[in-house]
Amino acid sequence: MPLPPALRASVTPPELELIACQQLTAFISGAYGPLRPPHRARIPLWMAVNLKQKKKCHILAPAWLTVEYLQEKLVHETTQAEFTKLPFRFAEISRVLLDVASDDLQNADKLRSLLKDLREARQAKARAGLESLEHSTLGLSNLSAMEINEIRPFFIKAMSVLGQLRPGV
Amino acid sequence: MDDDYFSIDAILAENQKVGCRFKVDIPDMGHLGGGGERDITRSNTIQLPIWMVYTVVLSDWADMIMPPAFGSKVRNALKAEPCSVRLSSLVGAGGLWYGFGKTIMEMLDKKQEMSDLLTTTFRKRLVEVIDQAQHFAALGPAGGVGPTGDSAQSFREGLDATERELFALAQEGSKRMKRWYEESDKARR
Repeated sequence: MPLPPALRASVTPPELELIACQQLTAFISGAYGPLRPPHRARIPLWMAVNLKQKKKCHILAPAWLTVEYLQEKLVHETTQAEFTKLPFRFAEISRVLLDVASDDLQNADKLRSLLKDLREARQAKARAGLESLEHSTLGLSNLSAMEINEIRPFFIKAMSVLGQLRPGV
Repeated sequence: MDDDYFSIDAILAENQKVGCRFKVDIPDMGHLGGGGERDITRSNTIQLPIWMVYTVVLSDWADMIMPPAFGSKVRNALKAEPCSVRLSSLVGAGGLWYGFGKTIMEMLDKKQEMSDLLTTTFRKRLVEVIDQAQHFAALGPAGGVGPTGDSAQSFREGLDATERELFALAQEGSKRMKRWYEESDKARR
């Protein structure tokens, strides 16, 4: 059965979120199973989210999900020409954490706005990359999974058009 | 756009007529020009469909005249400001300007020049296409008239079919991202 056109070019954001949820994250367990509170344990994000919703644990935010770190990255992002190095699935993980465990994060609102600023700064760069598009190669390093997924459909199409407009192939 | 035999785009791109100036007399073929004359006479100009132009030009019976969609007037306009040229009106509604251009390019001796024209135009317009697509995605389903003004409107109307496809892809992608960022998934979990 053919997929609808919208799903052919790339996966959907919720699917990426699902993949990101397989990643290990740290949390402090509550009273649950063989995990002994208040010891820390590394478990997949989806499980942490589940436990968090049952109020059985606290989630320890990853080191990059702090105001200082993101602020530093934002400065870097707005002053340097290339993309800042961020965790590959930072968009998905930060959103899940902000959604279900905002009380475990310090200054969640500030984090939200910083992430939004980062995203906008990076989008502007991806747009600049569009201007120098080539038919064969594309150099946008440090792009995250969600951003790649967003630009994939039309970058692929545009590159194939450019390839076809070349003479004598 | 591609050369595939089954590609609908390739068929549509060739759905154009190109003027040819004949170098030889061809008796009893006057009906090709749609007129009442019986013969095609030397230095007559006749609009022929592209599939026939290949044969006629390669057999050296006629010279192809550059179609107005790629004539010097359009070239100059594109050189000045690619975004202000309405490509769709050059090739008719739903037409493929780039596809047509590629077809013409294959028949030319100076392929590089034509390729440069098409590539530069495409690249310069691409950014505007994507920008507008993302703007439209941000407007949401009710949107349609933004603070974009008349020039953006006429640019959108002037998109050729290839650019339209890109527009739709970019719009769909941005919409999905926006939905994902904005929805609260308390309900989903």
